[in-house]
Amino acid sequence: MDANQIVSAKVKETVTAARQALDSEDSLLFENFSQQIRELEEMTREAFQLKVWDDYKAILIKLENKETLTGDELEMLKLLIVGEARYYLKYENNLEDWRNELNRLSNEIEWLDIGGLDDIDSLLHLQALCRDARGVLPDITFYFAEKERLGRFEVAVSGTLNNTARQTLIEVLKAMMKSNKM
Amino acid sequence: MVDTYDVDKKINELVDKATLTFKKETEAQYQELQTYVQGLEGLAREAFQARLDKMYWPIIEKLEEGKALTTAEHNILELLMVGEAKYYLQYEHKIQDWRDELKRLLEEIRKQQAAGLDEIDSLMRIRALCREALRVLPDIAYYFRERERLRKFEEVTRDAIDVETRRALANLIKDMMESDEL
Repeated sequence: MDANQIVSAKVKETVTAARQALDSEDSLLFENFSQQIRELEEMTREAFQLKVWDDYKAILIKLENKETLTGDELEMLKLLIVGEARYYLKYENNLEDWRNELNRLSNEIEWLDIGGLDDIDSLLHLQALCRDARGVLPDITFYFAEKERLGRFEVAVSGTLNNTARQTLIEVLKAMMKSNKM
Repeated sequence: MVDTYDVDKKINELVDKATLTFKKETEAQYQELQTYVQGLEGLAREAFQARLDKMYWPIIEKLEEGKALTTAEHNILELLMVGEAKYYLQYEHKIQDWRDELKRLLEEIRKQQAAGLDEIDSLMRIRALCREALRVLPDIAYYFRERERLRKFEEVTRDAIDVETRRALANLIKDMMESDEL
């Protein structure tokens, strides 16, 4: 089986796990579904790395030899280092919902405070609102982390690369292609 | 001992922090806001436990001595053990949205698979979709886990509680009251 077939087989497995979970209301089935998604993400990354291997080697050699990258090579370098962030930001369209939800929760917390926190009911309600906010905050934080990472990268490669930036890119590229996490 | 004045003060800090965060929108600001929310949740929990301070010792004694609890005591036991879960489930209304979002993401993954995985673009798109699914799945798994926890508690305490469960409950209450995390 080649990499694409492996990814395709994993998609089928994931779809089965998803159906089982979505037809149920069982936390364990949703945890299994999460695991399948993590594996699919990993396999997709590996298939992607295999596809860009030749370009990666050519870019690495040019960077090591301090040669100037062409426009296409620069685009490929962007895809290699911040491609995942770019695609994530391009397709993620929940930001406004998250902002509204956080705003709503913040207002509810304020109202609860105005109403008084003397009874047990208010304190448990407050805990529930905090738990809700903790569900949204990692998503919105991740969104801005990726956006800032992309911005920093664009700035770093916008002009002529100095030796430090070049060396950093070489190290990041090598680490990414070796790692099974990046 | 924490009182509602501390919680009230923390809410004011949180609201100010949230206002600033919504204006600045950076990863660092949102991370700090998460810390504030965690802090407030911890304080609300401690204030809640402080409020029950005089009520839980008689319950522990009764549980240890094998005596039957009154309805009021049973209600307090329920608040102590699964009150947070009950309130969370009562105020969390996004479960259907999460399910719909998962179904949409899965459908998108299947569309990419059907269109073929030869292009780098398709692989990057699948990675982004996996990332989105991994954002929703912990919320939905947590929701069902809390629901299962609540159901188990109701099952265990519906009829006469056996000696072993009584001891376990008494120890759990002691641990909860001593711990900063529970």
